[in-house]
Formats: sequence, structure tokens, C-alpha cells
Amino acid sequence: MISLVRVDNRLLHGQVLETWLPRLGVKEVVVADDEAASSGLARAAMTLCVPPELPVRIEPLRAIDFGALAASGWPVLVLVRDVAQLAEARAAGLTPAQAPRLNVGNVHFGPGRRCVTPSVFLSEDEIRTLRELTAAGFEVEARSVPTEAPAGIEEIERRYAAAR
Amino acid sequence: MSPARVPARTLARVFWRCLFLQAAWNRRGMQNLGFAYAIEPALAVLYPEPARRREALERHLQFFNCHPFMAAAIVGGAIHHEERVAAGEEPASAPIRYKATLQGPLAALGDGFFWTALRPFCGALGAAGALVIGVPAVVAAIVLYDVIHFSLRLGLFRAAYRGGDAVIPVIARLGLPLAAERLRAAGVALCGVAAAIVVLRGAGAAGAAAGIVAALAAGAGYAALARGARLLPTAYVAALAGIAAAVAGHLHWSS
Repeated sequence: MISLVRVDNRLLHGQVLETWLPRLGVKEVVVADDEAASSGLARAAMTLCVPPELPVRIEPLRAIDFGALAASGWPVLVLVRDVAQLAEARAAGLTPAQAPRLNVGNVHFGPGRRCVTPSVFLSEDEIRTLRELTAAGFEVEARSVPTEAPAGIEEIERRYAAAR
Repeated sequence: MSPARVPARTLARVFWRCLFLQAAWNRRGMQNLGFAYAIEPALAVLYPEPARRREALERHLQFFNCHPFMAAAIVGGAIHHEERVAAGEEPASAPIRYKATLQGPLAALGDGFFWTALRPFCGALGAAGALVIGVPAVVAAIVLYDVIHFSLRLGLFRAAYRGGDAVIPVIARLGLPLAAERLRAAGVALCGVAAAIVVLRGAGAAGAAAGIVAALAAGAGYAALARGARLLPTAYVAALAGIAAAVAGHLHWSS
């Protein structure tokens, strides 16, 4: 089963390994990222930083079989780099039944992006994508670590409107 | 013509500046200002022309965040790549890609080894030691922590400067995740020793009731650690320990 699909600009790092993995009891991590999959350095570094008993797969987004991940008997965490990749994953066949929760963990500041949580900056396009995913039946939340209060889509939109 | 290599003196200045990586931490770029400040002396050597230097400094102002100790490897490796950019052997994107690729995984390694293993272990060592030999144990624990983290920082900075991407096998050979596991186990054992000393001394000094309170405090601390994630419940543990200490003190003075 897919416990969580997480958007994180830094993909695999301390927050994921030290907080989400133990909280969700994750037994496999899938990094769905074209750039990381094509980089030997990224593959070596990511494999190095996880405990030896935890399998990590680094594959291009299009190569991921979400149905098979959802059907696996253990909790899987899927990492993507940007909000746009959530829409791509949905286009590639990801359904709310396979992965009900979409977490927006870390999106760095950039042109056109406004502050939604201390670690998440989103553009209008990205908020529209999240709204569409919510309408499609996914549960969307923004927070970096499990102990932070999650911000749902309404809260995300409210904060975006309030931010300059 | 710019020199192809950064002199050792400049590397030493960069390493010194790495120690202040988080001084200008901010939400938009996180450690970006600290990184640009650290690498600036090397860029000044590699790019004597102001326009190229500005361009180089600007690319290092992009978002950056890593574990502050492990980041030394990324600064060293970024200089490795900048030397090749200055010599026209690599595109300007090479150092940026190096930083972006390694910041997450090295942060995970650093969090796991330094924050959740070495630091608690040294803390437990200081606490247990303080019960036996007093303040010098605390000083020794801090010195131990600093010697280990500082030599790792320096070693990783040098290895990454020399080898660039080849720093990854060097880090792999350190076996940090396994070392972290052992340090955590040793730290837990030390906490058990400290708890036993406190219970025995409490019971000896103020009767069985104080011993029971100390044992309960140790049990509560263990339960909090066993239950929660590893990074955050330390605040709760500290609060519980404080309350237990107040109760124990009250029992002691009233007995």
C-alpha cells in the first residue's frame, strides 16, 4: 500500500528518514524523479543514506507502476520533487484509492511562489493543481514533519491569498 | 589568466567560514547566504574578473540546506567543480548540480549520525559520568563530541575538494548509519546506568519513596523515547524529568 506521496524539493533527507518513516512504519521508499534516476551521484548518495534494511528505488516517474505499489503488502512512501509531478503521477494512473494522502512537505521559494507554511511556497498554478487533485478525491495537506499541524487545501488557499 | 587551483590558505579560510553556515539562516534560501559567504574567497581567486565572479557568487545564492557538519563536504566539492568551471572543463551548472544532488542525502546522514546518535550518546556519557566523577565528565563529553565532529568536517571537506563526486565512496566507508545504530544503543545503555545510579542514591539518601520516584522518572523517560519519533519528544522527556526532580526534591526535604 502507498502510505504517502510526498512532494519534497530535496527528495530524500533527514525529515523523511527521521520522522515520516518511523511514523508510518514505511518498509520501502520510491523516489520518482527523472533527474535523480539518471544521475549516478544521486543514486549512490541516496542509497548510502538509508538504513541497509530499507529498500530504496530511484526511477523515472513514468516507469513507476502505482498499481503494483498499492497492491504490495507493506507501507510504501513515494517521493516526488514538485507539485507538477503529482499531476503527472495522476496522469500516469495514480488514483485516490491507491494513495489517498498527498503531502506537500518542502517547496522552496521561487518567482511567483508565496509562503503557505514555513517550508512550503506555492505558485497559483501549483495551488490550482492541488485543488484539482482534491476534486479528484485525494486528501491534500501541507506540512514538513508529522508533528506539525497539517494545512488542508482550504487553509493553503487562505494563506496564499493572505500572503504577499 | 585565472589560476586553476585554489591555494591552501584560501581553502583554510573557506573551511573557517563553513563554521558559520547557519548564521544567516532564512526561510527562503535557508543556508544559501552562509554557503555563498563560505565559498566566496575561493570564487574570488578563481574568477578575478568582476563579471564572472558576480555570476559565480549569484549561482551559489540559490537555495541550499543541509546538515551543517555534512555541508563541509558539499562546500569542498563545490570548489572542486568551480576549479573545473573556471578552467573551462565543466559547465557552470556542474557545481550547482553537485550541491542540489547531495544536500538531501547528506542531510539525512548527518541528522541520523550527529543529531540522533552522537550528540545523545555524548550527552548520556556526560550525564552518567557526572554522577560518578562530577563536572570533568561533562567537559570530557563535550570535548569528545567536538573532536569527532570537527575532524569529520575537516576530513570530508578535504576529501570532497580533492575528489569531487568521489567523496561518496569515502563517506560510504565511514559506515555512519551502522555507527549511529551502535551509538544509540550505547547511549541508551548509559542512560540506564545513570538511572540506576540515581535510583540507588535516591533510595540511600532519602528513603525508598525517593528511589521509587527516581525509578518512575527513568521509566517515564524510557517510555517517551520508546513511543515517539526520535527527533522531537526530547522536550517532553525534559519536562517530565523536571517534574520528577521537583517531586523528588519535595520528598527529600519533607523526609
